[in-house]
Amino acid sequence: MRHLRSTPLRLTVVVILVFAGFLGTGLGTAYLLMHRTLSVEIDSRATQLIAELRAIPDADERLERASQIAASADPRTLLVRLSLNGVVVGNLPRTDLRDGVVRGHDVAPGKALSPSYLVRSADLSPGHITVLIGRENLEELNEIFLAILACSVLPALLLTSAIGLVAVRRTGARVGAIQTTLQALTQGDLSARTGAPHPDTDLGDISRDLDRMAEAQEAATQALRQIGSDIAHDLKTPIQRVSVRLERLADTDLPPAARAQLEGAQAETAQIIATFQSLLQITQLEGGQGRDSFGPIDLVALLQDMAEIYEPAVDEHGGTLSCDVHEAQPITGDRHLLSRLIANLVENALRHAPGSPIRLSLSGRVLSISDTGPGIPEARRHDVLRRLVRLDASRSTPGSGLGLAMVKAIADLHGAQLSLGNAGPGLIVAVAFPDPQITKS
Amino acid sequence: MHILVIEDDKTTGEYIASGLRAEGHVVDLFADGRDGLVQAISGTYDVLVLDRMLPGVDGMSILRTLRAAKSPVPVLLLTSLDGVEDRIDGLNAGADDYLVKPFAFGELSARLNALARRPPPSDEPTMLRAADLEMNLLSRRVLRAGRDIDLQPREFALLEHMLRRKGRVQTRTMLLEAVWDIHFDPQTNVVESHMSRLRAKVDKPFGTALIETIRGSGYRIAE
Repeated sequence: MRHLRSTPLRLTVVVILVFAGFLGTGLGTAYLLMHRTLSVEIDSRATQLIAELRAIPDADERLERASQIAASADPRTLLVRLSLNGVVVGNLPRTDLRDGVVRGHDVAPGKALSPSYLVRSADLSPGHITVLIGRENLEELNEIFLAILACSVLPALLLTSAIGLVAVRRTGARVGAIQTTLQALTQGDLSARTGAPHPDTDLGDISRDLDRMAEAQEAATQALRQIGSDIAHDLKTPIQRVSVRLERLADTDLPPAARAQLEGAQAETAQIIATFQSLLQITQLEGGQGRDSFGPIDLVALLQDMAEIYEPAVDEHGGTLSCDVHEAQPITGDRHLLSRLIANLVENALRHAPGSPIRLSLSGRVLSISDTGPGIPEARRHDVLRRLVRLDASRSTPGSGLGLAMVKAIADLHGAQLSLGNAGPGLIVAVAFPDPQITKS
Repeated sequence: MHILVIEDDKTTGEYIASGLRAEGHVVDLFADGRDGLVQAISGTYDVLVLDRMLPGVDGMSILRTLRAAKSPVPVLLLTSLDGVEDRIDGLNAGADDYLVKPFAFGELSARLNALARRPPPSDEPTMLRAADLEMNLLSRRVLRAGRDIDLQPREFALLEHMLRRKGRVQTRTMLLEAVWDIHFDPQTNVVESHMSRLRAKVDKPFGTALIETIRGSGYRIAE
């Protein structure tokens, strides 16, 4: 199907069809015209001959004239038979020929005759005449046209098709390179290029421009990432020192009020660090990091492991955690990232729907998790996948607002489709992983 | 233990060194990568704490040089940034453990103890004991005071992990890594929940607690 959508292939097919159409029409018209002229000529010769004999009134003279004609005629062009008053003259042995076209060897097998004849018979009252006019000219015409077709038209068509195919393959490869590069760039692989040499064509220009654009984008992203990483590093070191100082302080004797403040400060510091960490990792995931360590994943085992890890915690919150699997199919990915994805989804359900039954399920390559909590209004579902977005503007519930953004980044890295829906009541999050076979090709 | 710490940040370096010294270890502290590498190759240490980003020679290069020189010293790699691939990169370069800064001192101390006293692989017991509890690794039976304790497979694994490291503190993250192969910090107290279930079976019916909680660090089964 993909080949049928190729523009060069379509153009080639159209050009060949137009070429064949014109040539066919021209040759066909010429053939028909010449064929008609020759047919008319043959027909008129038969008519003339019959008219000539009809014009002789005397029966004996008519017979004599007919035998003269027959004697002087070349059997390849003319065969005559006249029967009159019981006498038969002429060079045609058969009598039972009907008007129309007959083949030469039906007339007299073994003789050197024309391949076909036009038969005309007439009642001369008295007498009956049958005239066969050789259609050798018409046969030659057919041969000539066949020769034209075989020696010039067919080779021309074949050559055009071959040139077309070469063009299709060449441009096809370039178009393919542009396409895969665009896809890779869209998927976050900024190192993708169509690759030199760029041919000196419009497509070559496009692929060169695409490569330049990708290069600029990669450089810009790299610079941005470097800045981000520098900021993260520069801020993390002081935060780390704060955390070290707080911990040292915790080792000293403190009045209870001061200790409560200290523990609050420690918790906040831990939160800042967690947010930093998540932001950094989401940025890296969006940049395609982690894809190198992809391998085959047993999602069933992973899902069951995660359910097993979280079951006691969910139980303590008064909820239940169930896990069911239908016809699981293999996927590829990174086990640690996927365990993180599942953990974030379970924790999200636990945070926003505490005490609700949480259902983990896997069907084919679709992993889903649902709760019976308040859910997310349809209009906000897209927002929550963005970084640092939380539905309550007051930010009173715990959580960094990065949990679902991380889920989205991990899903994207795996080429998986993430969708949020209504579990009626509650939220259902589904992650549909791609078929590894298709992803590879 | 004799511990070499290579850490360029003064506050963190001194914090680590003084904390470890307070626990009775002998600590050499270096801030420069080049000096640290020389010291790591020439000295004999039980364990090495190595910062990933250092002036002079970078932490990862020190690690690779050490491993190329066939040094068997256990290395704990410290990192400020925990990128998606950093942990794998660190372990691939030859680190034995990996810790993201900032960390609680208890976490570092527990991990260093685990690294330095790793049992030789040949030493494979079939029976683990602590006080009146015994665990048979072949029949997978657990008895305490002669009574059978019925454990789920993961509870068994958790208890086995603790028993094999009797007397040493196991932090929550260490348990998550070792028992569940989880390498991120869950926002939920999953380890606490599992531990309280295990305690309900192993400790509660018997009056005396075998599994201690070490405040701010983790858990331990007394030797």
